[in-house]
Amino acid sequence: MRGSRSLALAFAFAFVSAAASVGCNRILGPTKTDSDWHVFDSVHFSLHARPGSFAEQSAPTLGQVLDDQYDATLRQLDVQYSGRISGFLYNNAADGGRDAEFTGTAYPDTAAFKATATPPLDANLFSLVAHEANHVITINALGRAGTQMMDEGLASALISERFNAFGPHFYYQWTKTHRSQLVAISKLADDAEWPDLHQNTAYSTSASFLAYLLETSGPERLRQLYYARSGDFVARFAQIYGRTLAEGEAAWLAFCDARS
Amino acid sequence: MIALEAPMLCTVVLLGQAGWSASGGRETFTYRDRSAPRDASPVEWTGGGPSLFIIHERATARRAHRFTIELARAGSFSYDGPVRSISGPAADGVTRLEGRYEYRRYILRDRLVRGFEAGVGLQGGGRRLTLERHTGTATQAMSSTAGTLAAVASARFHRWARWSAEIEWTNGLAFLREHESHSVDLLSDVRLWGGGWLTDLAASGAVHVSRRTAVSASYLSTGEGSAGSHHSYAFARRRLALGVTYER
Repeated sequence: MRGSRSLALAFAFAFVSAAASVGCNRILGPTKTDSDWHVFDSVHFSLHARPGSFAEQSAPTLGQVLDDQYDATLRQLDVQYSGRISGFLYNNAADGGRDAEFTGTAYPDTAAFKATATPPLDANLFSLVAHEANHVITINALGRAGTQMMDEGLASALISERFNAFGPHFYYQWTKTHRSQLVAISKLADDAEWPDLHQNTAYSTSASFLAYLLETSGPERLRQLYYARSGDFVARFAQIYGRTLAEGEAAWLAFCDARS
Repeated sequence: MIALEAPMLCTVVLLGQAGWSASGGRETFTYRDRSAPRDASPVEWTGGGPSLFIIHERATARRAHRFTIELARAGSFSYDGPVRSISGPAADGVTRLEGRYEYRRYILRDRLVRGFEAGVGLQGGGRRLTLERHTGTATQAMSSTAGTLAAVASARFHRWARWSAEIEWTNGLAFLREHESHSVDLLSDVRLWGGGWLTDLAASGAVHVSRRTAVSASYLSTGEGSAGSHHSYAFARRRLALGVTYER
């Protein structure tokens, strides 16, 4: 009897071990996050940083920047959201399992974001964390955007300029000085095209155009355009703004020239 | 899943058995949004609640047809990070209704060890999952209707007259149709197609308390997920249940 039970246990152990080491979830499922974090709480954020890291030293400043961003985003879009956001600040790309430095990812459904936090403590880092936080805020306040252009562009277009040089005025200036590199808005709004575009150019052009729309026509119209899918974008733009996308694009370029 | 041991005990001596099993327990539901394979949010949206399931099985000595219906509801959600947990709104919830059919054949009967059987099967099913999250004054809702196709491997041990034990591993694919909406604007409604996966690991044991009746206990651990153009996520379930089986 005892021998049989041992054998049964051995079979069970072997089966569970084999089953746990293979399968789709093993390949596609998420890995567990480690617990080596110190947490700094600001008004709206719980910022997680590695003990003794640059990010931990910078957390009070980043918390101040992000709290300002949280309020600014809600105010600019005229929307409501009261969730607390968890930010995870990795020491570098290797620490965060990321492909490159100065990158981040937002997880709106769980009100969280990851970002690399490398020195110096300047506008580059401020804009990175603000961009990721904006994804969380906008998607929770409005739902999912209809296009990648709206999703990524709006997260940058909304960046508050109180602590940060990389807000709308930066993008207007960038538009003026990078005129030859700009991508047509109709192309940016096509999700099939988006992955093949030069990403820095695509992000910056989208941010500039959406910041212009928000500044000149207000949040209500932008909130309607927010949901337009690629196939409907051009028609929805004309319906919402009362002019063609080409006319809107020309007005935006003139606006950037004048503003800069 | 829980109850099959009891009718199977009888199939050793009597072919053409059928059994019903009703079980109930507690299930935790854990959700994470994903950005890429293996990469997901460090925060888990976790809740728990009751889970009920009924299994009907028709079996012969070498094969079995098993029908399962499950209903689960999870509430009391929180946003659990690795070192910090934040309570979620009380109205957040998940409801899951699932049906599965499995055809199984038993191979290696008593070959390696007396009372040991290995089984392989093919499983098809349908699942309706609804999630509701509250973000301040607004409500975000997602419903997912999935068809699943999976392979099953099982190891069963029933060497003794009164009790038996079984471990099952299920792995397969899901085809999804999802609907997302946000209460702030009707324009937010979006319908998506997607693909997904499921991997289940279940362990159960049953003890006969009379000739036709057995009580059982089971533990289930799942890892499931979906990948879509605008929305990818993974979720896990852990369930501990007790049940009663009646065999005809």
